[in-house]
Amino acid sequence: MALFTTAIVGGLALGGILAVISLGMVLAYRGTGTVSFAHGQLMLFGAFFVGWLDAKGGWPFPVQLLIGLSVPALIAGAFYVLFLRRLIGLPELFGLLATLGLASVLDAGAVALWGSNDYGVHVPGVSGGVVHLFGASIDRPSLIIAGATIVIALALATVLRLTHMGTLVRAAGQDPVLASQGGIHIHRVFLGAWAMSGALAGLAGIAYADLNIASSGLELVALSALPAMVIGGMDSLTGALLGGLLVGVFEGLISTYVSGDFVDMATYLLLLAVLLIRPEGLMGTRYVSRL
Amino acid sequence: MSAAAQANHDIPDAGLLEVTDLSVAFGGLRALSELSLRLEPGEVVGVVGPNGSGKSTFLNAVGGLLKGAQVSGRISVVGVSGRRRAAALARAGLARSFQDPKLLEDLTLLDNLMCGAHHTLGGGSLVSLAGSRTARGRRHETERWALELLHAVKLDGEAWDVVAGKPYATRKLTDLLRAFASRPRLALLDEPTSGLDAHDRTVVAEFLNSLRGRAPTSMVIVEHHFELLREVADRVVALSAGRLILSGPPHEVLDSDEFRATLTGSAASAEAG
Amino acid sequence: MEVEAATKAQPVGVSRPPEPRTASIVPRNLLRVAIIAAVAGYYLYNGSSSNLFQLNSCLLAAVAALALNLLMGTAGQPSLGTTAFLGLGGFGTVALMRGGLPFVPAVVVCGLVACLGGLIVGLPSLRLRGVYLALATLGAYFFMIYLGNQYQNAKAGPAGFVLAPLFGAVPDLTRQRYWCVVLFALLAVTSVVIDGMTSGRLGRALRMIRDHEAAAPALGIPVTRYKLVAFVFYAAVTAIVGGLGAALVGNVSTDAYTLSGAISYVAMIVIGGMDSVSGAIIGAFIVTLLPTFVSSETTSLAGSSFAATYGPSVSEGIYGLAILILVSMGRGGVAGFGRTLWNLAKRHGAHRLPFAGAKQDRAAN
Repeated sequence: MALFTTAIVGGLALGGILAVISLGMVLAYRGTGTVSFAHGQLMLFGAFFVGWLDAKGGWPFPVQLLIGLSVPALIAGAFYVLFLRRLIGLPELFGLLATLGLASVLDAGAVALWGSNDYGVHVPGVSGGVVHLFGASIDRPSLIIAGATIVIALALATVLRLTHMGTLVRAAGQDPVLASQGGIHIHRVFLGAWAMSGALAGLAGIAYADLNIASSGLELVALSALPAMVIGGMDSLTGALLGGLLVGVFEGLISTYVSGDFVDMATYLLLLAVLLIRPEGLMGTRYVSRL
Repeated sequence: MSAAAQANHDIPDAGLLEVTDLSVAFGGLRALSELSLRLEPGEVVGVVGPNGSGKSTFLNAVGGLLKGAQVSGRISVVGVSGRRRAAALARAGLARSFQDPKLLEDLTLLDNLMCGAHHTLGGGSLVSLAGSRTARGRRHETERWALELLHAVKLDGEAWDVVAGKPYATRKLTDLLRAFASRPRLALLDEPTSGLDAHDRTVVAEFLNSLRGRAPTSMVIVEHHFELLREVADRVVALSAGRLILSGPPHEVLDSDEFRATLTGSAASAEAG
Repeated sequence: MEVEAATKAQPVGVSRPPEPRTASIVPRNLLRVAIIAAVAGYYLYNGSSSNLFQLNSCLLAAVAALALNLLMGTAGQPSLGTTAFLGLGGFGTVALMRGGLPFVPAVVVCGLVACLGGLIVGLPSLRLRGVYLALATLGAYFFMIYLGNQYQNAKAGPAGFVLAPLFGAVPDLTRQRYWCVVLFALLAVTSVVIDGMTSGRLGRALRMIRDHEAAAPALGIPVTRYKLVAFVFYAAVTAIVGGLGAALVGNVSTDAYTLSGAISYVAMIVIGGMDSVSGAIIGAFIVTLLPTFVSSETTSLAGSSFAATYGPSVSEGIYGLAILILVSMGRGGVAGFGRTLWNLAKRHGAHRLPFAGAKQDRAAN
């Protein structure tokens, strides 16, 4: 029971982080129809900037956080303006390839900036301590991060729904011509979607690095967010939240009861199972091709 | 003509196209209601109706290209009935042109036509490299036919040009010609003249009429330009809100007050909406 | 051209359509093979063993790039699983050879196993769009790494497996020369086969799937079957390359099969030019030689320790940037650039002729 509780809480902490990442990816996907393979690198930039500034000293955490969120947002925004904007209306393969290019460039940039260093990230108030829950001693930070990310993801999904921002992005993405005739500045909407998606990646990176460490291994976390996004349904905000939590808890259970080596493979097997049974994911729109 | 519209399953060899009580819905949205239609061999039928009356849905349903829709009723096309796949229908003699030209931009006009004859050309997927003699013979024969088609609309001089950069009319015509490259028994044409000017519309009409002599093909033509149907079609059926409301010789249907009423009615409601 | 001119001049009723004249793919394949032969021949006579090793790596990468180009460039299906199938070939060859099978049958068996693997990875995602295939190949990658790690930890330790060099006890230079001949032959055959596959009926069908997947079935193209054919072919060729590569390098370890390695193969296709046989080969050479070039440049600029630390990532950044720029601004890549130059040169040549404009009609014939 104790082991189980630890696995679930650890899974929820990871799940909350994955939910934040896939929320960002869903936003980007709704807009430009691009599945981003560069989100891990964006996470890394967020976390490394915070860790790096922290190590240099003299930077209060709010400033660290602001920089850690705005750098990935700027990168994602610049990526949209410089490259992705030219690919709207083309098959989604090209957007996917562009994100692979971005991933490679950011990988190189990370090595140039930080070499092979790792950095610790310390979110104030989220440090040390153990909480006893159902007979298990649980890391206090895990619990806080789980709560915080889930609340943030939930709040964000709700805000996007209520303010129709999510709908706006979807409308612009589904029919750019019609949307622009309807008075929507589609490029502004897409730019906003990508910048926000970058900021969310940064946030997830910082949260993950607080629990672990800011290292190049961060990039692999986003690769678990891809299945989370697809399981949730690619274009559903609520789905991203559910998918993230589901995959997080699933990975927590696998690494506790089976083996840590098995986690990535098991996640993709889960993805495969979901795709076979329900190709549109848990909450996604069924894909209908038009002629 | 009402006899043709009736469902008729006691006639052997149910013909090229026989649709009985076809209903199609997307979610809660009804696109077609209890539509029945029968085509005689060699017959050219025009399908008219205001936007959203279900014309494209009808073509897609017949062509096996409907996905994610609830379909009831029976469709029998080129001798195939029941659950049908588009590729299998094509192999049985069905062809299709598209409202937006769907071409291979970086290949030549001739290559695009050859692509339309994909299933009539021999050779397995990997073996086509070596190419048996029959396969080569068939390719040669198909190329000859494709060039004849291009010649009929005076595009034979551009047969070996790449599509990219060609004017819209050329691309539109290429898409139309491609539907005949496989010498189909039944061709479904989705607005073959949309976006074309008066001159090119005559080219299309002349081309479709010339096929009667060359390679008799039954056709279902969805069209907004009624002049084309007056020149080409044997019969016109009118759809309104997913129902077949009229069927008869082109001038009878197109000039009928009832048909005009649906057009102006939908225009009025479109303006109101 | 004379035929067309004649037809146009005649009245419509009398005119006849032009005769079929299918362009032969033989000359361009001969030219391509001859160029590769010239490069290989030069290094066979003049190259050091390390020159030849690099050339061999390029030839081998080019074979895998050709297979990926068929899948991604021609059929439009992205794959991040190139290293997964390379790994399957590498580890499979090791396992089979440890089981007593000679090298060549081991590699062939790996190719066959990869067909099956390709079928399993490809099948569920084929009814869905390309992104799902990319994800499924990512899954295949994690699967390969997991199995590879288990096997490696159980039998060999973290450094991985060492393969006995091929071609017996000969000096290294001689060995690399043997390799060069073998790999040249392999690349020549693969390039001709793939050009043949993609320039006819199958090629048109694959491109139709790439550009208008929803419309392709209406032209009688069995979309699912063709995607599967392309994917299985790619998986098999890549696994064979993996087996050969393991023997060429002499070492198999999971460290060598990275995700960025898979992206580097994507980079080869994008840089060389999507859907171009020559492009895939050129791209493979560029991306394979880039780390060496970068490290020698950075060594001379900033010293060897800097080069050792930053060299690999500098080249990764370069091809990443190349992907970004080429995908968003010119999908032709190097091959497309060459084609544009050729067209420009031709058109330019015509314009530079005196009175070219006035004699346009005749020039057009």
